[in-house]
Amino acid sequence: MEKKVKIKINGKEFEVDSEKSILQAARENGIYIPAICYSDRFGAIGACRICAVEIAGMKKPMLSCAAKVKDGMEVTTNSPALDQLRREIIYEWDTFHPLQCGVCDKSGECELQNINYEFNITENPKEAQTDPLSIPQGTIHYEWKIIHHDANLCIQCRRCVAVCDKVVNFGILALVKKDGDRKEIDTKDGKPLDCEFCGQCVSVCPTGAMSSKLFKYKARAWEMEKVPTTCGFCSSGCQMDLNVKNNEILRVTSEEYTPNMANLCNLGRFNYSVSKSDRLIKDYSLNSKTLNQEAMLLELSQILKNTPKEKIFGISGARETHEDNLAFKMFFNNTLSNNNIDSLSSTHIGKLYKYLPQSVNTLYDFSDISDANLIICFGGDIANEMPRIDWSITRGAKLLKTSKVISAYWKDTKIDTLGSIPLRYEPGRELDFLTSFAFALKSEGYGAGLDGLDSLTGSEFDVSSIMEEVKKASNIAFIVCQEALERSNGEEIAKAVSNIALLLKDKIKVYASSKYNNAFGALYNNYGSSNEFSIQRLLEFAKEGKIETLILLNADLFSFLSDNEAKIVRDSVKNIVLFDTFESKTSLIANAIVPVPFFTSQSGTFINAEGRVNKINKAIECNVPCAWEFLFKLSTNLGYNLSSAKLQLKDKKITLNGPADKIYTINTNSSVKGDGEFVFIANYSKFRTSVYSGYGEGAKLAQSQSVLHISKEDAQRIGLNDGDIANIEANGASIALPVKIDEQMPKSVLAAQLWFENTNPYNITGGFNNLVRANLTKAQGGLK
Amino acid sequence: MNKTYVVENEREVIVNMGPQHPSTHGVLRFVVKLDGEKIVESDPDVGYLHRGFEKFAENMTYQQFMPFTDRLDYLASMNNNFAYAMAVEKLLGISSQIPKRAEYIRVIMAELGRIASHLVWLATHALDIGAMTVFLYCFREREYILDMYEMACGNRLTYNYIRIGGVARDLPDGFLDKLKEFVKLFPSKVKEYHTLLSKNRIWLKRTKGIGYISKQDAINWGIAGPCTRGSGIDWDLRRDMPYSVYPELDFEIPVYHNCDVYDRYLVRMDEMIQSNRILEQCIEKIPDGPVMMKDSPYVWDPKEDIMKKNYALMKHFVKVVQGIKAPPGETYFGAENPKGELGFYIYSNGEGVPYRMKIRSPSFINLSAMPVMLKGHYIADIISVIGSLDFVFGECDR
Repeated sequence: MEKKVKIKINGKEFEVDSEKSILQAARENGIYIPAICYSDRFGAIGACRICAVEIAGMKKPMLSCAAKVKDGMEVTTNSPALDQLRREIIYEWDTFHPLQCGVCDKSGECELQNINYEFNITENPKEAQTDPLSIPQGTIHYEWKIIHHDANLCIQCRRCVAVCDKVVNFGILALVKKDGDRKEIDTKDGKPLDCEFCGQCVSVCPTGAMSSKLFKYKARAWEMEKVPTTCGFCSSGCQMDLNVKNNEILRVTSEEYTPNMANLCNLGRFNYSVSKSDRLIKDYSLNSKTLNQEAMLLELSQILKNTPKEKIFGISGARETHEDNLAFKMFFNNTLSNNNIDSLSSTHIGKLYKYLPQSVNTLYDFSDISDANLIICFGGDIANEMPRIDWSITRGAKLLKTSKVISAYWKDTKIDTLGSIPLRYEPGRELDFLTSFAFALKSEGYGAGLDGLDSLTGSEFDVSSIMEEVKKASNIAFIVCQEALERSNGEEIAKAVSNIALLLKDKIKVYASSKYNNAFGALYNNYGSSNEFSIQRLLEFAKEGKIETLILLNADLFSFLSDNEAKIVRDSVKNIVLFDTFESKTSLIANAIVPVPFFTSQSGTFINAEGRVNKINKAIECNVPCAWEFLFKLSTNLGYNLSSAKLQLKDKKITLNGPADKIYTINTNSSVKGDGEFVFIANYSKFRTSVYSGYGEGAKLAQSQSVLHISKEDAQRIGLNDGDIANIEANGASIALPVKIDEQMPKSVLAAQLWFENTNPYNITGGFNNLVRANLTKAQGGLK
Repeated sequence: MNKTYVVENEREVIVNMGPQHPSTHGVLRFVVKLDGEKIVESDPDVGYLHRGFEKFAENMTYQQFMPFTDRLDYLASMNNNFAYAMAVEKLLGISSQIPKRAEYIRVIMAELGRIASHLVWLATHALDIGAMTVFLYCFREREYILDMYEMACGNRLTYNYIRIGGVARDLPDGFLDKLKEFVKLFPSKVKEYHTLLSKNRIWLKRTKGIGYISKQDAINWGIAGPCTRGSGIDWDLRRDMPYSVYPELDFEIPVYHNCDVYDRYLVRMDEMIQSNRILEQCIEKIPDGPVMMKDSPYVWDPKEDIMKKNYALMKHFVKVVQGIKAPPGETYFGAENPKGELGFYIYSNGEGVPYRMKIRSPSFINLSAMPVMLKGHYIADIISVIGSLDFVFGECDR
């Protein structure tokens, strides 16, 4: 595919890929061309003009970021004329730039400072010609949330516009005309910024024009120590640097050489203050009595000794480090000699990888998504579930233009703006799409020779548009969203996905999304694989009195069960031992609480959705030992010495075990329970991956409470306006939520986001389910 | 270091001299094997004052390291400043662009430093051997020099006055007048020292033929400065690998051939006279003009520009925070210091801080030749040899 061409740069000959721009070709070969607005993250903009080079035969200098290489091209990257041209541009910027470095947060890492230094600017002829009083005053957007924009500092490189459009695919920023000829960066509609608040614009801004309000005036760039670590909010495993000063995280940055290309979402970039939340658990406590570690160890070992071993159960929240997770498993398997454990990854990806055959269950890199010809995103709004996958899709479809996107979901989402082929099904009818797709594949002759092929049946769902693309594509990325797998018929969905994966065996790459940061680590540790206990049976076991002591490792009962169910568990279990970092509803009902450090305060590893083993490093001190250390001590007290050598993971990338190739028969019964006028769905917000993620400033400012998304038509009919409180009733329970009219919502569908403190949507759907038929009424007299 | 000594016969004794000893000029431990009073073997043990300067340098910008050089040979801080500034300037390729006035000021400071350093050497050397008067006389003259330093930069010991690209500030009014007075007076003072020592019988007994190191041994051990010139080696970096404005100045290199403590004494005595000559010429020749480079990417812009011009302010932030970006490459520069050749080897990979810096300290190298000089002499001679080598532990241990 790739064609090579020969070009000469500064007299030296190089052979480069014909698709490359001159700037890329030069950089690959170690030749430096200055550039401000260009970045590999979003491609050429052509705004700064600093990267202009001379090409033999051309009268005028050309922009090297935009010009593609051609065979026989002769390029000069530096000459007196070019130097003069570049200086002119810098003079222009300097003329309007205020003398504010002393108070600007960007000082010390500012690219305008750097380029002034690089060119050693010692005069500014333009300045002399300009009356300082005539310099127009730019707008300072004090009213924006989280992000501060000062147009006076802007050099109009349009990086923020490019990153918002081509990476985040949100496109809210633009260079808009203000009074006179003047242009400024502002929102397209002129309203205060209301976006994903990912702060990508802050991270790309070469000057201090776009800055973080949360970091403002906290520290100078050079005062902070950068501690590289892995983000602990979702299973993307983005690499980032915690900027620490005086044992406090002041901001989060990321570098362009990371696999995530310096991209971070709201949670990663702005939610670091979770680490100093006042709801951190600091003390060991037993029945509300504070103990020291030794006393706690004694008390806990007494409790465990007094419980028959087969009556001790454990649930891992899939949020702790791989080490904690494995120690937990070892503690049960060796010390307690049982396997009564399961992790929260069993509620979603656990189902998929239970059925996905070994031959197609490889965990691929996210960068492969961008290179795929066809990206099928199924069952959820990926932008809300895992922004990093969303960016990979955007990169493939919008920037590299190598991929076509198909979005199979019940709602229009952001990726539909990428020119995707929309496949809309009714909520709860995921299987219609999947089985029809599998059937169509079979009819086209895919998977010939597989056993059980005849058992595949289709439905009336029209998949002709997708089939055309599949036939053309040689490389398909299939993304299964958490929302689909969390349905009560998630296992059937997993089987149907497995069938499709097997049919398209050689050209499909299956990805699964998870909001739990170490879900794949828990899966790798093989939780609950060979025992009768699974997390779905927790309630049943509790009711039957099989559980006497329940150990929760970073698992908040109220984040996967309804309040009622959690109370049943509480009432039927004698001891609840909670290992957790933050106070939650569960910590209020637990008998024993063992504090666990937050991921910023411990070293270890997380395993992300690519199967990559990512290192986390301790950035801030806390006086609490890691959960695995505590478990090891506890195990010693119980008379069994666990070996910490086994905790270490030597591989850089993990592989999962899976069953042999098999076509599954699928039970296509509808999963929608109950009766009611509306279908209610509990799905995800991009600002929460857990309840505690809302304890941080960034996420709280971006979205403070769960809201009810409703179509305009339905809202009008019931008489609801934005902000009104609505009651949703189902299963004999009800929740109250503020209303948000969402034009993309289909009729008769309601959706609310999980893991907010104002409500628990599981109250009406029930645990291990996120879909229910419900009734909606306007609340009288507001929220109680 | 830490050699194990084997005592071969019953007359042999191992003596541990230092690390606290009044005449070791710092913290030097000396292990000597004696046969009666004669030295059979000796071994200097250094490192008690190691502060890791070379490692420090890897973590700070080029400008930030300047005050550290003050603390190498603290009796000649100006000379260290000078040598370091020139090493960095050589790395940056701006050696030829330093303003003339700054160069003359630097040479004045360096030669004053040489005289001051030699005065302390003479004072302590004589004191160690028993001549107390000399000590008082020498410190009297040194005070005069320190007063001048204080005028120029406000400090009396660690000056931090010379900058990459020039000097920190111009000479104050009246400095040159004071210098003129000193230059006129000083030769008569040196004469006084000569009358006290040069024909003193005790002095001759303690120094003549003591601490012998042949010309070839001196070369082999790599010793430098007055110590080599006392062994008949005609070598001085100011003349033989000229730097700064030394080529414009007329001076002689004193060389003596007896290779002993006495000749090293004579070399230094003559050097003070030569330094005085250089100072005389500098007073005549020093031009007017700026004392700092301007518009260079490697020096800081003047404060008034930084406060008014945004490009100057922006550049200043980069220079201070990230450091000046020296071109990638390596360089070595050695300067003729009072103690010998002080050299800085700097390896830059283009970042704001050096990738590696190595300091060739004359004290360390001169000291390592001591066992050669001591062999066969009496234990009391250790004191006079230490005095004649004139080392400072700030520099030796770095």
